[in-house]
Amino acid sequence: MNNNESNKGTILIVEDENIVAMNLKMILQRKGYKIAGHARTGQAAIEMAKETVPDLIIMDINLGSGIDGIQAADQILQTSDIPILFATGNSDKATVSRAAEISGDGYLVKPYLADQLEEAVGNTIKKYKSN
Amino acid sequence: MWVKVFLFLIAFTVSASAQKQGYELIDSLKSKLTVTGEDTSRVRILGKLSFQYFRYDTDLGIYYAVEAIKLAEKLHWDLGLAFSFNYMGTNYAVKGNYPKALEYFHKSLSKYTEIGNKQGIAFLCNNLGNLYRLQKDNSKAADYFEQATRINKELNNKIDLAKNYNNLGIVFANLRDYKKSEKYYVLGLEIANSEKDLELAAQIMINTAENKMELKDYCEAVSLSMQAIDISKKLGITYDRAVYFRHLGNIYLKIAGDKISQMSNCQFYSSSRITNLTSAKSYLLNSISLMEGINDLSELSETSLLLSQVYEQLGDQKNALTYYKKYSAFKDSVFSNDNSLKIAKLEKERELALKDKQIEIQTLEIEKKNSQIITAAVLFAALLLAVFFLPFLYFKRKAYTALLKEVAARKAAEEKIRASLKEKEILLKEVHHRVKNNMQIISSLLDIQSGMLTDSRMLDIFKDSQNRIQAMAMVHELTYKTPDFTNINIKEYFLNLVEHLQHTYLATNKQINYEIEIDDMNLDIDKIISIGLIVNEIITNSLKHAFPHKDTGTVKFSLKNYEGKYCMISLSDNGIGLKEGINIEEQKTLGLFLISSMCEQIGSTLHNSSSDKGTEYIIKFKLEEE
Repeated sequence: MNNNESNKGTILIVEDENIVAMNLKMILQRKGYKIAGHARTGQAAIEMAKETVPDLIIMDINLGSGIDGIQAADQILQTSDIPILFATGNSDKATVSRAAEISGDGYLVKPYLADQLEEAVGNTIKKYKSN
Repeated sequence: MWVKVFLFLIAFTVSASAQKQGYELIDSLKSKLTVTGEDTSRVRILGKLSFQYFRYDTDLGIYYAVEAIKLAEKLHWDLGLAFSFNYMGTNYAVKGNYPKALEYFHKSLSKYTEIGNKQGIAFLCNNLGNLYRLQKDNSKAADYFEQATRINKELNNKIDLAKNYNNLGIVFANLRDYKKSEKYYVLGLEIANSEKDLELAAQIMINTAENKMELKDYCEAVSLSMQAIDISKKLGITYDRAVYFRHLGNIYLKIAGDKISQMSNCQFYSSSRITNLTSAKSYLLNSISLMEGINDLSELSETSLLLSQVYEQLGDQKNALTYYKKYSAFKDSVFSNDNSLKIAKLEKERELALKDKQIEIQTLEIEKKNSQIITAAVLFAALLLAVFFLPFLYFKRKAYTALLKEVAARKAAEEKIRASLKEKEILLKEVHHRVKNNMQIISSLLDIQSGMLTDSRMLDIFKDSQNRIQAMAMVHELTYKTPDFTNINIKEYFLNLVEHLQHTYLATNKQINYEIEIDDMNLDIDKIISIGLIVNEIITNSLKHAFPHKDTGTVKFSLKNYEGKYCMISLSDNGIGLKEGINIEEQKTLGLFLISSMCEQIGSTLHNSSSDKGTEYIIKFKLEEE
């Protein structure tokens, strides 16, 4: 099933693993979303969020060197209200709490399947739009 | 002028010889005292000393009596107490302290009565009689003397009886009942003579002569006095003889002054006044001569006065004056002697006080010494304490410091371990995080790959593979949240797994009921991954193949813990059963291979049954390693 034709919204992918990012693009595009861009670092994510102003940011937390995904989200949300869905391998209480303080939009734990991702993205955008 | 010879304490006469004997006896008793122990013989010696001293020093007499009483009380010796009380009373009586004397005589009498000592009772009756006589209560004195007389008669104590009679004679003479008095003197004299106690006989004769003189029977009075003088001369008792001479001189002086007597016819005296006065002078000079040898100033004074009167009546004024002067001189000497005695007594008291002071000083010195010894002992103890305890304290403190250091070191080590543990936990979490990321990459790769496929069979294979990865990843996810990685709660894991599979495979138009019963228990990560894969395969099979033509179905999953010894997993569905010809042991599919392989890995048994009513797997494995 390929839904490239439709546009359910634009999504900025922030992920330091290119394979995972590629898979995300495939899944999201397959489900009808437009990809605003792919940032591999927190700093890049802030800049791209300003430039593209997406409908949703899927944000990994561990982003290698530099600021992490939570810090990046914090800065992004200081100038915008873009919903942020954290998609990360970190599921410890401390990290989840930190993330929830910045954005309560959504939290997806790796490894996730395409269906789980689609459901989480759909729910987050729907919640944002209803607000 | 004349003092009757009364008998205190059974037999007591004041004579020079007796005095001499007294001092010798005192020295002898004192030397005995130094070698005796604290026994009854010591009480006797102390008593005798008290008795001897009453003539010379009543204070010392009282002192020895007190000592005797103390020891007798300590020894619980009633007889000792009885005679010691008597000696105490005697000393007080002589001292003139009659109330005290009476108190102790009665105490003594009570003790003698208590122990039934009649001799003692007689002593005390005699002494009480004398005490009352001294207080001029002659009636009471007579009563006690009579009591003593009765007892001594009963006991046949003849000498004591004679002395009682003598005392009764004196008492009745004082009461001016000369008839009764003479009766007792006669009785006493008879016994004294029969018992050949001439000294006592002489004393009674003199007392009888006193009565005779009062009754103006001068002839008998002179006769008796002369007999007494003869006896004392024979016995060599100078003092008595001197006293008796003065007594005779006094009788002659009385005769010379009595006109009626001059008319009597008596062989011992003349009708001439001058002759009688000359006789008086002669006897009085004899008395003075004897008394001068003894140097009894009191007696000399009395006799000198009588002699001065005799010389005056004879018209010899010169001698009269001379003897009057002597009388005055002797009297002054007596007074002086008395004063000397008083001074001596004061000096003695002072000496005693000094001695007491000295004792007090010695006691204080001893106390001081003791105090010094105690102080030294305390200091020594403190030194010992310092010598032994301080090193102990030092070592204890050292040990304490070492212990503190050890505690600190242990705390530091603990901190280090804690920090290390924290670091390991972080690292382990990082590992799990990395594992999950890698699984995500694998899953993503499979997803990317499947996205390029069109064959539905191949897509299913990729999907199954992704689910297997998911099943394993879920264990890591749970491990990530669990503080103890070696014990993971399986209930949460299997509920999540079933929910995930349900979500993944179930077509929206099918209603599948899940009957899940999982015991709350912990297993290690290896076992959970293996069991997770088994459950994943079996439920996936059920959801994919058991209900191809049915809209409803039931999947049952139970995991039971049997007393911590073994675990039994039961997985079943009410679907159509396995296709004919499929044998789980042949492991023709990857799913069946995984089930069989994982069961082998955890050492479990696997039972499978399948029919058109459904499929059932029973897996049983031990929980404890053998």
